[in-house]
Amino acid sequence: MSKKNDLKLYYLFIITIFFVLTLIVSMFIGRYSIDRQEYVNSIGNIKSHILNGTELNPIAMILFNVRLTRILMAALVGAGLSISGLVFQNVFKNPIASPDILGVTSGASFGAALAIILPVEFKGKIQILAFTFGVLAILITCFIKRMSRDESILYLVLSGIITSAFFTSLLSIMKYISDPYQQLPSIVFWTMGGLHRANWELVRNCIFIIIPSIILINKLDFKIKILSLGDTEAKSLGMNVSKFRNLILYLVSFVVSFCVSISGTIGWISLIVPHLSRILLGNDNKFIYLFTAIFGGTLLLILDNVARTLTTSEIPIGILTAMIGAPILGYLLIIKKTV
Amino acid sequence: MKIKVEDLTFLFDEKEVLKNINIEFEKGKVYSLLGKNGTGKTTLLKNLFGIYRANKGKVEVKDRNIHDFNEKDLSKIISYVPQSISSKLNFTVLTVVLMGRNPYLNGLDKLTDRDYKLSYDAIKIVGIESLVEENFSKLSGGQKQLVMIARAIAQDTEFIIMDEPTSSLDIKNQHEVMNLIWNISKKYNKGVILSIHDPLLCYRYCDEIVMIKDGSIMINGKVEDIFTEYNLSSLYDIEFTVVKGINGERIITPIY
Repeated sequence: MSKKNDLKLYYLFIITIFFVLTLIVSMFIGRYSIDRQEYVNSIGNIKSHILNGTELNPIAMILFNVRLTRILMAALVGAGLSISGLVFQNVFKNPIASPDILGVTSGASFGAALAIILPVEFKGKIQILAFTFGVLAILITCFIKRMSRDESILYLVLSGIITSAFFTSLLSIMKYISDPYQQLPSIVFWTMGGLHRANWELVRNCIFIIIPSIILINKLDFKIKILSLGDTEAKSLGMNVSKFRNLILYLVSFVVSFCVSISGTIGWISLIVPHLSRILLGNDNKFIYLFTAIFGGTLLLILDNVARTLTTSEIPIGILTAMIGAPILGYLLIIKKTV
Repeated sequence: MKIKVEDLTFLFDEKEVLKNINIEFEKGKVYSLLGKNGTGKTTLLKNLFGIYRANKGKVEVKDRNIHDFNEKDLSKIISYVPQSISSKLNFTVLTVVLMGRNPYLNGLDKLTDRDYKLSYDAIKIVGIESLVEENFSKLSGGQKQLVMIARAIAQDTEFIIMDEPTSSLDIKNQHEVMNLIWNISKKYNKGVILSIHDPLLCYRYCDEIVMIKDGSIMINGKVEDIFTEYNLSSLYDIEFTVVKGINGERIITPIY
């Protein structure tokens, strides 16, 4: 037993090292080439900016305000999406459950599109509407499944597909009626995903929302496991099932909707990362949440590096996650038979 | 302490599944519900710990309707061992047993040393120490059943409800599990209410029998009094005959 656990700690150790390395390397990757002397100068400049509030020089500004914020946001959004996927899979006793498949992502995307089109302005408009419709989507999915009175995985997935299709069509309506010069490009951005809006304010929001959520979810791990046994057993073990399930779903939908509201639709991460994590660590590992978060952060960071450097114009990251996510799921399904 | 069922009627899709059930269950005894498939055994069990709500009548424990308890308090009195154990998610045996301690955790509390000790004690009682770190989903049917019983013991309740605890077990395991259940009931003074299909197991390891036919209690009472050819024949609509075993025990077998 101890040997097995040592091995698993080893995985956590490796992924952490890899994550830190990726963070550092990412600082040196970018469209604007910076030579070594400029890096060294910038570090001093950034230091005095943080400590004394001095002005940043242009190179330091690229490093500190553009690259660093984007790197942090990619890592945090990747972590948030992956953790959300893991919780969905556990709550629904279903390895294929993810915010994408259950409709949260398309609900939140529609909310964001609606916010872009609505002529009224208020603070956090996109976030609020993305969240509202993300949560509404998961409620609709659960409602359809409950009405079908079928406990099987198939019905859950079908309910999610129905919800997704509904919100996708609403999203198309938004696109159709939107102003093609200003609003349409913004909407298209949500549906393809991208982290180029990164700034310190968004990073701060990410830190305040995603990290506490991960800590809370980690604390609720034991109860989530009990919930995954099904309603009857969970109730017989003293759980108020509907209350707790709603609490978890709101919490996770909140995280997903928040991620969608700042980075658009980034699919697949929330499905693939928890899956691979569970294969590596096993579901009952106490580091599973930490590992999934770091793994998801690392993966999205790497993909974002590719997205911003591979071609002269940026590739929307949602395209990249789908391009690697779909083959991985296919591999798991056909070769590993673990889905 | 007793579980009292008073005049309980339960409808499912407007069909009467249970009709005017009146019965009391006491601590320290093993009760078995006998009856054909679909006569309402599982439905009755699920009414006993509040999964279903009776359309008429009530279930009481400590002189209070069980639906007046919150989940937490009720689960400190009655535990449940399900029939099909189908968790696709892989937990270790220890984790599964520790779940029995959930009723005693508040909010974000962590499991205490006492929770671990009680869980290990329960694991020892059912004799599965060697499986503690094993993956639950990879165990055999018999081992899974033992783990679930250990969880119910860790839950430390006065009553344990079991839905067909022997249904997926081979003959040796059936006897081992039933023997264990009987011992736990006597040693720790717990009331066990289970549903079962094998009249012989029922005769050997239970104190009282509740025969359920078409949603009503046909007859109930002590095993010795109830366990007759006549009762079994009318319960299952098939002829039974009694043979004396080597030790003088009654062996009842169907004639078909």
